[in-house]
Amino acid sequence: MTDDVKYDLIEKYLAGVMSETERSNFENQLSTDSSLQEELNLHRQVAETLKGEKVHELRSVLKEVDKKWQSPAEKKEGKVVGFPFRKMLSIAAALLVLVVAYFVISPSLNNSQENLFASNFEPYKMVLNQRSLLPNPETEWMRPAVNKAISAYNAKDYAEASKLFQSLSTETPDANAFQVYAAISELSLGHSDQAIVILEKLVEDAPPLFIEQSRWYLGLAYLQKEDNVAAKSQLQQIKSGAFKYDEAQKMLKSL
Amino acid sequence: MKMIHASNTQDQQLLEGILNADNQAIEAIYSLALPAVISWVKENNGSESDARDIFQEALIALFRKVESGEFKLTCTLKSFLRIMCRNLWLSRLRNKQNQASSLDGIETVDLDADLESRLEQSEKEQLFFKHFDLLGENCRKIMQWFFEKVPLKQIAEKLDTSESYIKKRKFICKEKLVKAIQNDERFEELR
Repeated sequence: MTDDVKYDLIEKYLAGVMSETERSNFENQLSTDSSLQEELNLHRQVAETLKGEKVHELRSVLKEVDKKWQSPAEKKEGKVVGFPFRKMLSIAAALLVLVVAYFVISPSLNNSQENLFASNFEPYKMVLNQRSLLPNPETEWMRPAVNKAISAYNAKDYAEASKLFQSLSTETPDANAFQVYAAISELSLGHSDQAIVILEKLVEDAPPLFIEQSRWYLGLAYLQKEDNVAAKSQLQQIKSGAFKYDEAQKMLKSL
Repeated sequence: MKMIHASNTQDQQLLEGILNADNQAIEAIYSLALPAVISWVKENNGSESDARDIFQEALIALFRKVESGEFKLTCTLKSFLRIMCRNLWLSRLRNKQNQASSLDGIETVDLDADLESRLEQSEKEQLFFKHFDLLGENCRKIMQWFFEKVPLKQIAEKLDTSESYIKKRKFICKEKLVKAIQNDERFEELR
């Protein structure tokens, strides 16, 4: 039984909309197939847990309050609240000195990182091919959306491209290519943090081909973020012969 | 109409606050009950972060209990939450077998059976929430409406698209969610 047929049966059964014959056939199947029984239970529990807007609202309030709320022990240690004013002033003064020093000393540093990023970053060329991406009729309905995302990317409308690729990537389990392009779009917009979130996940669990590309762009993303240590660590992991190996070696020397 | 009975006005208001996901009420509940929970969990092989996690789970279980209909609080809210958290933490420790020896002499306090079973399910619920939060925003919306039994045609209207598109997306989103849960290593342990 394919997943869509199975899900359909489970949903009809849970909603109580099966005909008498359908129901008795399904119950017969359930009595002999323990994995189907387990799947039915999971679907029921998931629906029970996630239904209703209020519980999600409560969860987000809980997260918010939990972030802010300090235990009496934390307050005593003076992590934020209850900090002696005089001590705070002297720290503020010290910070100010540091900030001024940073701006006096750092332009050369920033410039060199910016240059390194600018001379190495170019958005990966668009190689997505709708025919190979959407090989079966099941995903045919995605074609217009894929088309739109590709056009936005080619037109350098990266904000739109990122949005479209990210939304496509939630629609299919085979979403690595969409995610790579979403990350490159973010990087093109200067959003290194957003790019890093996507790329870190890809280098963790994507197939090897995507890891190679992602590793290079992740290195660049950290460079854009001016985190040289993380940038180096990513670039060092690019193996000889892999995508952008030579460029990575050159960059490591400059860093 | 939900019926809530508490022995004092403050607790009554705080319970209503949970039901309405009211920020100020939740903050007040944190200050009222969490410090004691943190101390107790720390004395029993846990950390402050463990205490905060189970406190949130207890509040969600309590929310569901109150939401399900009539709820009567027979002691103060502070004590009630302490008992819930205590039971939750003890069951967590018992599940980690290596901790069992340190539990000699500490017993769970009986709560009503319905609430007890909600607490038992709470770790699994957290797993469902975790993977639900990882879905795209559109998927989350569709799933939430679908679980609420909103007809697909109406979901399609809300999102300004066709019913057949929503049907396909609903399947893809649900498959993604169910598979992510099934592939989570905690899922096997919680079955």
